[in-house]
Amino acid sequence: MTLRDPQTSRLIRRHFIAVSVDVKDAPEAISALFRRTGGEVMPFLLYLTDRGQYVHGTSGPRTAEDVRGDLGKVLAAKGLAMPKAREAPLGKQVEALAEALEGHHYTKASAIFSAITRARGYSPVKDEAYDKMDVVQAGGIKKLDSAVDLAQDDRYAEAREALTGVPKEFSGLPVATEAKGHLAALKVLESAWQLSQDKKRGWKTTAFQRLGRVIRQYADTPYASLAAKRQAELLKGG
Amino acid sequence: MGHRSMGLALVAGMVVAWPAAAAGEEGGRAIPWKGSLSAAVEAARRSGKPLFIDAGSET
Repeated sequence: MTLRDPQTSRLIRRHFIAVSVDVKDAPEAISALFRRTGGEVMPFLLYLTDRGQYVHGTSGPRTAEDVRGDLGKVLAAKGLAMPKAREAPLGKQVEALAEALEGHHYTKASAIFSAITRARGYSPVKDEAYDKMDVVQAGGIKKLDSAVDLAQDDRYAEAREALTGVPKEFSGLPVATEAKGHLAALKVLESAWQLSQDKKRGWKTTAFQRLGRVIRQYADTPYASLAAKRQAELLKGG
Repeated sequence: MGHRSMGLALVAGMVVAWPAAAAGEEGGRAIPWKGSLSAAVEAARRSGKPLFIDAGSET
């Protein structure tokens, strides 16, 4: 699976907002973009600006290398790439980030990192900052990912256990804040699952509503798309 | 900018598919797929990051 290639998914995770849609249920605005790719074969991969303008699209199977090339082309497009003149100050911020991380000043490091990632447009300098943060947060990130995998198999207690220590252990770093959001989302997701186990009268409606809450309230967590999957299963009678 | 506003308005609220790559990847982090197109559009606006839409990859 192309999108599971580590380099490809890293590029998407860092520099894009990703969403997966069902081709059959796509509204006309999206179907029109499928046509703009010039092909009729699935999958369609679409690249839009932050304002929803079409930049690039492909139809049909792509290798991981192809997708990486497409992603790179989009990031280098006019209006999406950071002007060269703005890269020098960003480089200085990355130096300050490295210094803060070395000194274990994680709250300061997080503030610098946030400023770097918020800077408009893509620059490879941003990847340097992401790389540095990934190294210090690796242990926490692993736990977050493991919790998502466990929740996918409805192993909620184990998922909770994986997440619980992260906020304290990685205090001050973005992964700590992320873990808090994940824990909150997991709690609602688990409560929806519990309803499906108890099967009391009207459980499906309540479970569907709770899953909807995960999608809306915790849209920035991977639990939102897991909740979308669960809703689809409920609609199919699962 | 008719196209821009049309695209953003019509995608709001649409339920997404569950991507195969959501459950993890080979040797790294999973892609954080948004739970709905409207959430993705909002996140893109807020962050200034471009949108990546996968339609029909193996799920």
